[in-house]
Amino acid sequence: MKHHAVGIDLGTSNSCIAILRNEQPEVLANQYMERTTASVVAFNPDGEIEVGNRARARLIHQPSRTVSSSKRLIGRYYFSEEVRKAQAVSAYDIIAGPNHSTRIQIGEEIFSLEEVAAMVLREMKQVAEAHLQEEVQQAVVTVPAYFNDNQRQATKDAGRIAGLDILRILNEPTAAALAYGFGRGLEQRVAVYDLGGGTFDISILEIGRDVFEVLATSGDTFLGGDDFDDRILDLLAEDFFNEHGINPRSDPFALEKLKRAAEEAKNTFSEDEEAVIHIPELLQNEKNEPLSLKRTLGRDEFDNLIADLIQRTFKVCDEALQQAHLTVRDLDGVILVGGPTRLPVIQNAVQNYFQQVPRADVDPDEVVAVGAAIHAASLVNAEVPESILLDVTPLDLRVGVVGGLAESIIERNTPVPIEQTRRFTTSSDFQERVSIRVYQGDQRKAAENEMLGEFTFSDFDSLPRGEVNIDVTFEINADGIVQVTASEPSTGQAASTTLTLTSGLSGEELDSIVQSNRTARVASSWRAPRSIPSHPESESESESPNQEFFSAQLEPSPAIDLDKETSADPEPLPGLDQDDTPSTESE
Amino acid sequence: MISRIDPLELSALVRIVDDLNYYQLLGLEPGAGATRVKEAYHNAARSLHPDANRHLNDQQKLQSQTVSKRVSEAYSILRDPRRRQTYDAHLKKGGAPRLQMAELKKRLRNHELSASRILTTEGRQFWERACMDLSRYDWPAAIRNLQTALTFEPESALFQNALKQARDSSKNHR
Repeated sequence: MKHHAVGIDLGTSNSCIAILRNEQPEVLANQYMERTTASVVAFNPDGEIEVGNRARARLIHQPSRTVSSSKRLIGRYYFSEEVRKAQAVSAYDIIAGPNHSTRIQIGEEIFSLEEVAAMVLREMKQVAEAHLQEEVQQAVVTVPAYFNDNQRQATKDAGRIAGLDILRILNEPTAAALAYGFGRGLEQRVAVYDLGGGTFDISILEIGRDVFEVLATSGDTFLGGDDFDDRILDLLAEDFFNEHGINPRSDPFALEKLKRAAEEAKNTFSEDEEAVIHIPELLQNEKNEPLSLKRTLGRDEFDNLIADLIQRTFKVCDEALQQAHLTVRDLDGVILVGGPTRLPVIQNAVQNYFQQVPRADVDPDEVVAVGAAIHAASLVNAEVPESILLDVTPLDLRVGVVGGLAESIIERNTPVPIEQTRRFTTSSDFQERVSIRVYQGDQRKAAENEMLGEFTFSDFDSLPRGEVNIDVTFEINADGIVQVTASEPSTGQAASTTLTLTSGLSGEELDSIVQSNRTARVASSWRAPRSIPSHPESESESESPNQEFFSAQLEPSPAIDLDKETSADPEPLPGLDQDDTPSTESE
Repeated sequence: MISRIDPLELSALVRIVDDLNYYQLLGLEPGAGATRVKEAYHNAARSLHPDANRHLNDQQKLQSQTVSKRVSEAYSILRDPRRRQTYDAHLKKGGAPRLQMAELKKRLRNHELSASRILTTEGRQFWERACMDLSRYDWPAAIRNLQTALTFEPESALFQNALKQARDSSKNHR
């Protein structure tokens, strides 16, 4: 029998796993019969690690040991805006790791975001194994279309830590379109409006029977349902402060209670017109008297609170349509993805914008996992009808040049896989090495883009400036993952160096984590009722935290200085092509 | 339907890929319209995309990736009327079959510089409309707008050339 390959939607708030069985997609429920599992990891003081709704329930009791919405942090530099934002609303400690990376500190232990994601993936893997009664090794994992290379790499590493062979990193909207169009022989243009817990993506696709071509994608990784919660939270905290003169945000327990109440209130509006918010004993005043919060929030009031956030999504939609050279009238369907799209205020706004009723035949919480499962099955099982997914890169890939600028090498919305080569030359006499910095983003100024990494190339003769040519090849594969190769063309057998971009975990670090297997604490402690005897980890004694490695790594590291501008930066070589005679051909 | 490529054919294709221009690579006539370009891209993907060729050995998989990357490159140029015009001009002058993005962009910039030679606001207005039409492959509308632009600036070589190209395209693409 063929082993199953699963599809996992690793979400900001919830994760979902699906398989294709007898050509039918099937969402697998966890041991509590929930079809989605909260992407929350609780690190209990006894060393046990819990994932899911049980972990979520612990947020209120041990906020500083419970990690939620960690997807917002994965693959992010510590100095990024997103990390600042998360620090303001998270009770757990977010600290700096080596190379400007971000880490989570729980008590004495320090975890990378890759490991936290791996714990969620491991939980999902276990869910599938419980259903299938076999070990699951292969998976397609989805990411927001707008994820950059650092975030994709980190997600892929998380898969490896969880013991999964990641067949493909798939964009969430593309997965949703596949779930919608698989095996139906459609010839349609569709928009996928994907509003998740932490991110917003819009993709415009053209479905040509078995080919799913992304025409354009755009997004905002700073916008999601969590932001709606934050708006309610702000309102509650302000009310409470006005009434009692105490800021409830300053207390981590109160903050978690407020967060929970805000989220519950938001969810109420999927069905009801009014939410009653009541938190008894939110805080105590200086006389140790309990202070409660009670308030009703009407639908109109809520709609107003988030109106500007919804409008922001349509700005992004405008952009995507423009890039696809289409208008809303050219679209045959609109697919909604993500829990927040259950809110009537969103559905109405979407219907208004696209001038059509969104498809009701897809489940916004499950469609991404289903698409991932279909793709996973078609990648490993020859009997599954194949579909070809033609995706695009969401962001410009750039290289740093003199003057603090970043020149675009591959523009966003270029189909992948793609490869482009650019020739550079040295900018000072007898220079022995060049450092090449790779960025992703849409800004001309280097510093305003996301830096993917920096590498040094020195396999060339030391000659007067301008006499050395260096060909740098930039490649984006079908996963959206970037690879950079440098070579010196004149040396005949072009010495070529493939460069790993300096983001997230280093190779050794990753190996060490995989070896230490401490994310398996999820597996061993968690696995309560349904265990699979054949699974090797069920016997493993992985309760002892493997800490030596991390304490060693967290010494102040010789991190790269992102602001320094070296004269060794390569300069693009003008006029390389012999037939380059400017502005003659266009008249 | 997915139509996997014969491994022999694939290795032959890899050997000649640098000699094929983007039309040849996608199996297109030089004047092929937008619909044909898209069809050709989808068909190339059905047979060449790495996902359609997972049964191949590692070396062959690498070959399918190499060709797929070139197919994406070809499509990203031929689907965009402005880029395609620039590429066509490059081929006409005997340029290499492959025109990488950086070079293409430089040529496009030169092209845009020529657009700054518009003298009247009306001329610019109809020129911009014509550019929009061109990007939607709407040749008749582009021709109309260019003709109108020319009534304001009858001497404009920019408008005249664009009109001639739009007329040619409109003939070829029918």
